[in-house]
Amino acid sequence: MLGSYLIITLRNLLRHKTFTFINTLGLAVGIGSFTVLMLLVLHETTYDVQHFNSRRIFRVTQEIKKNNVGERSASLPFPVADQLKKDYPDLIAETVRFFNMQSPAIPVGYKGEYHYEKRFFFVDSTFFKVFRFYLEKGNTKTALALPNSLVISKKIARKYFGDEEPIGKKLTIMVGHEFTVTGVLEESNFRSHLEFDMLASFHSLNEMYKMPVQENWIWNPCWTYVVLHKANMKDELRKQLPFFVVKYFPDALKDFVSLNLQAINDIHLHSNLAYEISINSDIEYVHIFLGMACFLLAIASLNFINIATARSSLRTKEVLVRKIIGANKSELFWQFLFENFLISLFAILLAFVLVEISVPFLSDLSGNPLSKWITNDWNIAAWLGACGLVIGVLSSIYPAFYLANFNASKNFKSAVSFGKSGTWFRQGLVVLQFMISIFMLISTLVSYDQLRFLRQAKLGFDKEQIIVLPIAFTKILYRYDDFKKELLGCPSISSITAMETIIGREHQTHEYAMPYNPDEFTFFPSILVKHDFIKTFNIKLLAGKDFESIKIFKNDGSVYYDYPESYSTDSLTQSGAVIINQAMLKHLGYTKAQDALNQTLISHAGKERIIGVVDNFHFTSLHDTVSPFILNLAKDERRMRLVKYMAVRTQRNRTFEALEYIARTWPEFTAVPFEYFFLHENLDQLYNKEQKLSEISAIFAGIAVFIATMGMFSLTSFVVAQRRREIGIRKSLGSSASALVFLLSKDFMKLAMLSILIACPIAYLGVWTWLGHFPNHVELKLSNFLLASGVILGVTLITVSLHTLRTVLQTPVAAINQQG
Amino acid sequence: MIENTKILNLNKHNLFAPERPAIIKTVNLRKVYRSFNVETVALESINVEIKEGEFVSIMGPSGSGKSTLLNLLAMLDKPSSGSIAFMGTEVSTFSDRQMAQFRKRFLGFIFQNFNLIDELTILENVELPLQYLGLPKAERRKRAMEMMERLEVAHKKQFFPSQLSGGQQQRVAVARAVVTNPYLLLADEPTGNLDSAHGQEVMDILSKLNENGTTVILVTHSAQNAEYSQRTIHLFDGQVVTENINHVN
Ligand SMILES: Nc1ncnc2c1ncn2[C@@H]1O[C@H](COP(=O)(O)OP(=O)(O)OP(=O)(O)O)[C@@H](O)[C@H]1O
Ligand SMILES: [Mg+2]
Repeated sequence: MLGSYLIITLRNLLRHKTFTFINTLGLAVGIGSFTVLMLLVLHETTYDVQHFNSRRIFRVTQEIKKNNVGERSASLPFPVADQLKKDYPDLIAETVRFFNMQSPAIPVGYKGEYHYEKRFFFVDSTFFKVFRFYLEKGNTKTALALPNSLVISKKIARKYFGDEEPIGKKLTIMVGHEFTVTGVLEESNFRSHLEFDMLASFHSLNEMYKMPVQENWIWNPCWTYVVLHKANMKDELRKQLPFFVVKYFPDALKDFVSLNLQAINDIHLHSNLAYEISINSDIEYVHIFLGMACFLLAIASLNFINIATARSSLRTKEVLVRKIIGANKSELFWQFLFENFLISLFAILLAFVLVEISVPFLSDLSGNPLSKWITNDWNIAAWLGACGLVIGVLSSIYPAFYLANFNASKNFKSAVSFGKSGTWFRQGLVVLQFMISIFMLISTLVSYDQLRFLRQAKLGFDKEQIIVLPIAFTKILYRYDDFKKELLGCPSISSITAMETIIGREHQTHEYAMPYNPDEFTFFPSILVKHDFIKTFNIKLLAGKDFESIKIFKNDGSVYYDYPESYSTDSLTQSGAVIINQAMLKHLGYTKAQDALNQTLISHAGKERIIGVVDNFHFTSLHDTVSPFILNLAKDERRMRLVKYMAVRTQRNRTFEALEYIARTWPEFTAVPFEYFFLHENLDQLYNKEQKLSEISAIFAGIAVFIATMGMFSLTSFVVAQRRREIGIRKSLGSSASALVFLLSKDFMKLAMLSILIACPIAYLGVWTWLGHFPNHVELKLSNFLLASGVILGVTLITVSLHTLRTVLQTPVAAINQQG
Repeated sequence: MIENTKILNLNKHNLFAPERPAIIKTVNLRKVYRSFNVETVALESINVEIKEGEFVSIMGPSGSGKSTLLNLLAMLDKPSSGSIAFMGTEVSTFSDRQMAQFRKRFLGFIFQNFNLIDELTILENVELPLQYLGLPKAERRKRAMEMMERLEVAHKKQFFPSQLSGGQQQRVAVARAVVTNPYLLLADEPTGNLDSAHGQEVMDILSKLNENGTTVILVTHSAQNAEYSQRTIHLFDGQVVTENINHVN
């Protein structure tokens, strides 16, 4: 029985080669795309699930809010972890802290040769107890127990020691601190929001920091994780946290601080705080991928149903004859089902080949490659295979059922009318396919628009022609003025400043108080900067002036820079200077920029005189709105130690000369190797997620259009086959070829227009909602809608004309006689 | 362009001139059907000449190639080899566009199996050739209705072909072919499904058209119908066996 099904099926599939091919390919591409998108979703949603007790691990976060300014920080003050464990031993089993000196990179040296390492953390010795990472060499119980111990990844081991045994080797951290390698990490395939290459024992900090940072309840640089005895103790602990805050946080803060708990599994997709330990993804993107996956699967199934129906209605005559000579209904039904089942099987195999081929080229939103284990997981393969078969079979039930069921007692003419009633159904499917394609096209176009907007938006400062040099922990911090003077000797360099964090990307928060209320400090977004900041970044001054340096020409012709202390009104050494933005001006209650000049704020360093007011500029990414912001001059040495980057503005097209000059000068000042990046490139990376999204949606919108086009192609070929006789007759009566092409395309163009009319408003709502998530976004442009519609209309016209022309150019008799 | 060919010079008034020019002339016409690697020679070495204003009938047993020949003469199909000249012009040189122009202006064709368009009503079917000629709607309606009344199918004008009997469909097909008052009419057994009264009517229409100058080529099994023609071509197994001149009525 099965054998005879197989033979009939194969003969049938071969007879309609084009349909079979389109059907298989369409379904394969659809299932393949679905699979890839689901892998992406799976990848994004399985961060940090591997830890033994992942449901019991929480990150403690901190929110400081006062007068509507402040921060929501992923990191906490040093003592919180220990104190929590001490106070709530019944709730908390273990705590771990991560600390990276608040520096994105730390200089690491071996035998006098230094490199900046980005993924460097000090961690508590409980690290290996809490998180599921293993050591290839060394003992997890002891590796981080002693001060100055260091655990490194294989990559780092290879980088510094080559093939030599890493255990016991000494590395110099931050110039001057010797650490001993006590462990080498095992490579892990797990996805975690914790990304690191080097882990140093937390105890080391006791020796490195002479000040009692461990008792500081204000500075909050430590990512702090707690493991609860039971997952459900979370609420209990959460209830205790306000009391904890009141008990331990300093008086100035305690009313404005709140602590919260974040499940570790939620961090990657749901956390968007300041000072995240790594770049997180966003649940919204996962939803978008899920949506795309469903769309593609829908499009592929619609395509499949469409072709299967078309194919079966070409066979109404065959079915009638079979019935008249006695085939029974269920037999026919099973035969058709079997046929489509077979196509689905082919399609699934082809889909897996496609996925296998494409996966190595794919990465997630954070830029991590899709893990190999996912694609090698047979459960997933089986699951998706089953999915594909279910879709194949479900999609074929309608045509099989319809075909098997139509009434043989009626005469042959009903065969024609079946073809007709099926037309509505098929046209509906095509409209749906087109709607999905248009929706995806428009979304893609808008997402590219938004990306371009984010990259090119006016930030309020000039990010071009800026070279940024990381100088954290280098001796340059102490010889900054000399170094600057030296660099300004290069004619290609026009201006130099320095800053605590990268402008346009991130900021710090510092405490300031008003002179009339000197004891009440509020946290404001702010960064420490050096002289010529406004000049270097070309920020618009509304009143006052930059932190100026004055160029003095000496008698011998050399140049000397002086930094006038004129900012200070009272005490020369005790007072500093700040420049505020317009939002801060408003926050302070001034309407005119001029009025704020020479007013003072109070910082922990003393009085800070407002010497300038600048227009609002985007000191963080365009995902945020501009809030009050303070630029504070890093005048004394204590503050200078917090400065991490130098920014060098070069003359147009003279970047290369400038770089060469800096590279030559650099070694005279520090042993740390010279590294640099361009500010505009660095800031572009802020929108990597948007770029990835745009790329991914472009690919899958293309695929959607491709599948829909194939659906259109097969529908056309079906309709043309059905109307071939009519075409021949009309031709015999003298119709011209062009009139016939028009006659046939008209109906399809109507379908395309209908899908455009329905899809555009839906797409409008969709992209409008998406854009609403951005405080700064592009206006929706009509051109995107027109372009998407144009693509669909064009594709329809080309497909249909290609198809109809073939029949139209036949002789009338050939057209009339040919059997479809 | 069609306007540059001799077709435009066709003149219905020179019908009775002593030298009647050949309207269609075939030389060594051959038609082979190929399907499933089986070759069927439908026509072989056909040399016929049909003069302007003539009424010619083609007879022969079933499968002898009558329909095939008629299709070729109407340029609805392409010969495998040999040539067909229309008014002295080789047909194979016609472009697709010229062909369409030619068909709608000069040709009427009645298919053996009617070939009405299922999706159009009877009236629309009959109107169609007039529509292609670009006639205004009222004019089209009038002429189509006149012809349908003559053939007694006017009362079915809003019906679809599938709702008519075979004979009714055949009369609609005749109406559609003659409604343009074509210059050349090719009819493939136009009376096959008709009772004698209706058959008679169709034959009268053809004769009348012929008297008014239309060249008629008729395929028929009926010797009685062949009587209407001036000349009969007999086909057998794809070849012309005899041509006899009938008495001219
Ligand atoms: N499309 C086709 N494919 C293959 N063979 C064909 C085709 N059309 C006609 N033939 C063959 O060509 C030969 C001539 O057919 P044709 O239809 O011209 O005969 P006919 O004289 O019109 O017959 P009838 O009196 O039955 O109408 C026949 O043998 C037929 O089988
Ligand atoms: Mg015939």
